[in-house]
Amino acid sequence: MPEQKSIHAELSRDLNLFHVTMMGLGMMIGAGVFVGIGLCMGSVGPGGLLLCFALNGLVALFSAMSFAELASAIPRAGGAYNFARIGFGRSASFIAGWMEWLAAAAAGGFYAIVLSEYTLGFFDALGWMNWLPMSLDAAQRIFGVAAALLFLYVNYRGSSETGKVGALFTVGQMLFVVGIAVVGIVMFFVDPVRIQNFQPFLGEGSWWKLLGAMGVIYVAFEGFEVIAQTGDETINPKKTIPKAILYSVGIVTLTYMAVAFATVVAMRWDHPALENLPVWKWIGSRGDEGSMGFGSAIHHMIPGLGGLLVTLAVIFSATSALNATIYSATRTSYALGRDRMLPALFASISRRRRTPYVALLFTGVIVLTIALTLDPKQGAATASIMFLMLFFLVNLCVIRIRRNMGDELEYGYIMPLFPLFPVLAIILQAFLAGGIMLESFMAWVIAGGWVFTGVLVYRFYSRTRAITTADEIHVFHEDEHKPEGEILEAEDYRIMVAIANPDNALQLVQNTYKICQAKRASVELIHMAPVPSQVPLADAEQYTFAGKEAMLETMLYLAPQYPLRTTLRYCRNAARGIVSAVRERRANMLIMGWHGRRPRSGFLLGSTVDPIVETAPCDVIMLKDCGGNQSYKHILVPLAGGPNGALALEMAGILADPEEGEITAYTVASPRRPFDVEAFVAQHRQRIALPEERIHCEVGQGKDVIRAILHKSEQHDLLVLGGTGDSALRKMTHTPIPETIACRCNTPLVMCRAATGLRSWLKRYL
Amino acid sequence: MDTNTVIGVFLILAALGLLVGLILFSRRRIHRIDRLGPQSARMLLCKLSRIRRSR
Repeated sequence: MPEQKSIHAELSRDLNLFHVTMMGLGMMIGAGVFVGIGLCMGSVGPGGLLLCFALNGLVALFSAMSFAELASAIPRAGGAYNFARIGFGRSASFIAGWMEWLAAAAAGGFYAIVLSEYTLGFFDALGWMNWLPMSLDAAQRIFGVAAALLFLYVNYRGSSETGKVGALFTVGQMLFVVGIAVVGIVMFFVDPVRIQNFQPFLGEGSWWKLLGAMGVIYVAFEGFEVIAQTGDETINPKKTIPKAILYSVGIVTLTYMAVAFATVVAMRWDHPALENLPVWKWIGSRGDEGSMGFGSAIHHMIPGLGGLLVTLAVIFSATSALNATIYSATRTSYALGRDRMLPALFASISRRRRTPYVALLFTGVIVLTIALTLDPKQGAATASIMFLMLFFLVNLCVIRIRRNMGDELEYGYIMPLFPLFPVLAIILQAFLAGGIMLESFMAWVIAGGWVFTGVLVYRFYSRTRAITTADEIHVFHEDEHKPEGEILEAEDYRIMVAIANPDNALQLVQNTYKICQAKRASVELIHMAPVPSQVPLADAEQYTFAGKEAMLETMLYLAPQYPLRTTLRYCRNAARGIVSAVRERRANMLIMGWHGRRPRSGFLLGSTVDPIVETAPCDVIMLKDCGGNQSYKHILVPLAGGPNGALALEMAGILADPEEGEITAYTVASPRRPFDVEAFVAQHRQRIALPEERIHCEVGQGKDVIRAILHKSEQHDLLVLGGTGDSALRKMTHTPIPETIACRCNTPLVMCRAATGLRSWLKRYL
Repeated sequence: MDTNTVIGVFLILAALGLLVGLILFSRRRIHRIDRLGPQSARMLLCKLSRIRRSR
């Protein structure tokens, strides 16, 4: 018998290039571009706007190359905060974290302002705001604060959208933005004289003014740095992260330019709404210094629908970006608290919600202050300037780290012509930061004050209290938790058992034992420890106690009898983590327990179970109330054909008492769907490990199939059900019969879903 | 076209060209490092730049 292994923990990697690229794009395509178009057009004209995006894209790419190189060499959560710690030590890392905190929180405040301005502006245009007892501006402030409060609460609940769901959301946003660009470009080809809208190229601005406009709109390029923080969750991070960072900057620059082009050519110069103003001037004068210019232009480009579409797009993108920035700011301040650079209070985790509520509270104060006091331009400029300073520091880090430790690190990407691009980025960003002073002096005051306060906090508080973290000692190699000894790949059949809590783990494994014996399979126990998205996965140790207890319970039982491997993984979402583990280990069967409670509306069996049953690429067996080493003498198997029914028969044969167990294959007669149960059993006879005389076939009568089966199940020890074979669409409109029975029955239950082999890409993705 | 437009269009095209070029070149580099292994790729790149400098 092979030696038993101890429990080992590892990270669940389930984000690929597409997901992380979309994550970066989702953060970037916030409200920055929608508001920035009008703000810029007013100050530097139509051509200057396009030039702003092109040059900003290039400046952002230079910094992105630095992030890509560092993230490829040190693919751990933490991003800029971690790089600064390795490059320049604690003081720089504190300042990086401190700046990142305000940068993300200021961006959050800015998105809240934009969200309220666009939403209430749209209602106002429809005449729905006339009843207001206050000015529109005051109402917008209140609405912005309410939106920020809502997303602070969402973050407190810990239900921040991440990974795959976020990627889908971003695809939707991208489709809208690209749609506008396509409509604009088609309009231009239909009516080429609209190119005249680009005259005069710089409007009434100058080349100097261009710098200021570039600085303000730089906030629209902020977001790619979150990709560098996903090192713990990405598949093959050394290669994937640099690619995702560079692609996202490229895609976003081209998209912004196309949208800006579409906005400029949206209206003819002789459009009556322009009131004899040039197009660029009219766009630049809508809302607060042009903040509503984009929406107004698109409103006229697509008459009737344009205004609504733009408002919806801004609502979607601003809410998603607001949520993401609050989450990012919270995560940064939590990390500062964790490393005792800020009081330990910042690292407190809510017992009930398991989210860092104190960090969230302080982040909330900053977001709300910015949403209440600054206008969109000042908000954007404050966020921009903080990001510029942060990128400035990262560009210094990339030079220093390559020079001092380049030989020790394993790079997945090395930037060309080093150190040309980081140096260029530093110089250009210094120009942009200077340019912002021309547009918003207040932003400089806030940013300067914040950094100065940070220096004081570090000097008088953090310096003596900061603790040495694992990152300082162990930065160069990511932990690889490869199992020692026996490698399961040599086995023919692999069963994975997902264990959720210590209470039912033993029962689950005792039943699994019978299946393993019958299948001569190797077993892997896996526990997924979901970690709230605000907490880096590297700090997830505290969430693993229940899992470790469950593992030990089962090992005590199984270890003397059976070879097994145990794995404990941290993940953001238990269902996704389990499916990715099944795929990685190439498991043939997944066994898991089910509490049996009625699920929330919208789910068949539960929010965790449903996605696993839908997407796991192997047979899935779910056990409910199956007790421990119970022997089942009378097993009911309701059948209606299909691979799930065949698997149910096989499982019934395995779980039945070998001496006295009997199976009743049962179907309810239906004139609409005639089914020959005897023929079906005969067809799958070789899969049932019981003698012929202990398998009975029975056809029941009754209009209500569910009631008939439930009634029949009361006379049996165990009900073994095949899952539904209905399509996803049908499942959305009808609750399938097997799932309804599973929720209602009081008999111990085993539910089976066979791997069908061919699965559509979309289904697997979702 | 006035001077500002000429300079502006030139700058837009140059910036876009550089942006796309750098991304494509970086992509090739990631693949090359992936194929060779990071240490050997880095060594080769260092050697290459030394040879170029000596020329």
